[in-house]
Amino acid sequence: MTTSSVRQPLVLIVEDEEGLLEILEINFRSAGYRVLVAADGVIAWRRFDDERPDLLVLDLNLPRMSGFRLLELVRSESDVPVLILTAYDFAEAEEVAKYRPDAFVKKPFDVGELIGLANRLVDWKSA
Amino acid sequence: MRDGTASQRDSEVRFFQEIGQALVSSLDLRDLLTLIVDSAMAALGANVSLLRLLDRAGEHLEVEVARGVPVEAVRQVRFRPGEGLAGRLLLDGKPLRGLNLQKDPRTTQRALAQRYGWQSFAAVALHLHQQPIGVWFVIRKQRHPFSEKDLTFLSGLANYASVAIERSWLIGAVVRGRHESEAAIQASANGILVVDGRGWIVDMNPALERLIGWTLREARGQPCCDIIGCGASGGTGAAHHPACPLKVGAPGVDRSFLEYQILTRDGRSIPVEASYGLIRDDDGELSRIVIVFRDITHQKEVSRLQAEFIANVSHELRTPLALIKGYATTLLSPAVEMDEEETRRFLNNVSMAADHLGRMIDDLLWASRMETEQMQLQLQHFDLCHEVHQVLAWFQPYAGACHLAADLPDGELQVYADPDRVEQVLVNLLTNAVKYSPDGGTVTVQGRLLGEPPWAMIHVIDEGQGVAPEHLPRLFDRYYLTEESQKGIGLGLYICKGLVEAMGGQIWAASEVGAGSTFSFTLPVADASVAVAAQDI
Repeated sequence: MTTSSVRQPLVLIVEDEEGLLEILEINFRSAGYRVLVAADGVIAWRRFDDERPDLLVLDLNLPRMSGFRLLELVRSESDVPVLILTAYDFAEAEEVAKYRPDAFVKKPFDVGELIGLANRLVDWKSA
Repeated sequence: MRDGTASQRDSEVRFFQEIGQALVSSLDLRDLLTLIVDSAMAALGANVSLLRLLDRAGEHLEVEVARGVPVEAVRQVRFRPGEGLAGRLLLDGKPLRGLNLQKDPRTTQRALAQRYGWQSFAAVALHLHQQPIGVWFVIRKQRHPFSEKDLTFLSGLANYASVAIERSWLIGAVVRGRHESEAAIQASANGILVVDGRGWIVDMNPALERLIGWTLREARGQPCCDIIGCGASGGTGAAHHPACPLKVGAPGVDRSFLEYQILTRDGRSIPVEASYGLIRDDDGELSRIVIVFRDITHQKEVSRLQAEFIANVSHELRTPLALIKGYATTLLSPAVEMDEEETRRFLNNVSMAADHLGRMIDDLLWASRMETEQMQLQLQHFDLCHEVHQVLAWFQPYAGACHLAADLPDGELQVYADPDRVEQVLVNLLTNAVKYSPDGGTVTVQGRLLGEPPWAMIHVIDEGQGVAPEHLPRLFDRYYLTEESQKGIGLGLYICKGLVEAMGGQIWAASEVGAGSTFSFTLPVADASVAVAAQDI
């Protein structure tokens, strides 16, 4: 399924909608990623700090700590590729742009396309 | 008036000087006319004088000044234009003379003339801009006739009288207009500000005083930007703000209508719609700027809520849509391997997300119907206990890790309501209860028959985080979202309230932070509901 000679990328998926989290987790695993999940901003920051993932997939509307704040923290010490998931409009895109996200995916999204985008961000060739 | 020597001419000149002087110094019309009439009588050796003016409607000649005769005696006699000697004089305007009023065939008032012994007379019409406005009679009680010269003299004085009348009317109109304008400005619900050509405050009305917190006494003579802030920059530096009256009044600037924010005395910003009226002097210089401010806080708030609502709705619609799309594209993905059980679970999740979407669209439609009062309820008798059990069974898959419990009386609880709408209310309340409950928490639906006459009462009780007291009064407002309920469109409880009340019941909430909430509503029981049943809601 993956190029086994290369270390599998580690993705941290931060999404508070249980169903979407499950969908993303299954698809990233199937694409050969190692997966970490978090359903709120505080846990997400802890996981990020501990594990230093290769890719952050981030919903902006999160309990406890917003995706904006989390992105701000992440960007203060890392240039990790960040893929933003959003159900909001372009005003939000403008606001979040200052934290230099690498990609925006608007809900609803095609999971296959999202995985393809993630692969390009981490230069990973899934099967 | 006798033909004149030099000294007589001097006295005529003095006479007209006195009247001219009175004309410019006195403002009271009756005083002036009386002076003119008395002077004429003295100069002409007349015993009686009557000055009649057309009334406002132009229908009757009314006595304005009566000398030498009791006013009551002549006030009763009213002439229409063209009627009697006075009425005809008014229309043809030619001065009249006569030897004996008591026998003059042209007058209808011979009896009056006999009663008071009136004999010779002279009469002239009063005109303003070629329009007749009144008539003036001078009468002697002797048969000594008035001469042509007397008539000319009387005509000259009549012109003075006309000037006095016109001036009085004009002043009256201006004063009345001013009073009316001032009353309108004072009573206006909109704030009105008048500044001079330098932008300094000249006047403001009570509505503006209330809006900005400054009184006219404090603000008069101040630069208006110091008082109303002129929006963003504030202070005297605001002269360049596009809303500055001076900027608006500048040559070549064609902006008479602006929307911006003014600053109140206590530093609050108030959104206003300002319209500008420019008053220029004869040289074209700006002398006054009248600004009318309309407080549009409410409209702004409504617009903000609507914009927020649309953003929330689109966000909330995307969430179940994202699930449907996510599950579907996962099921279609060749990269994902899935067994039959998992495939079935995914399809079930798609179905539930679609239901969620459908309910949200229902909510939007119901909210819209409530706005336009187009709710069509199917009121009928049914067992509320059965309905609650059905809803709980149906809702179980949506309850996640929460337990659902029923606490209902044995037997039936017959109500008269619309079962589909009762279900809608229950699902809305259950959705909220589950949303804010901890995993493993219990949500109980309790039903009771209470009161006299009896009402069916339903409580939806959760063990969730509770609602802060400050939110409780507004929970059922349209678009209202607490910080905790940010995920939502703010319509669920609004619709519940509308539906319950339309069915003749009431809805309310009680809560304790950390201990959970109870949402309760009542419905009319079957027998007591005849009145509601008759209504076509």
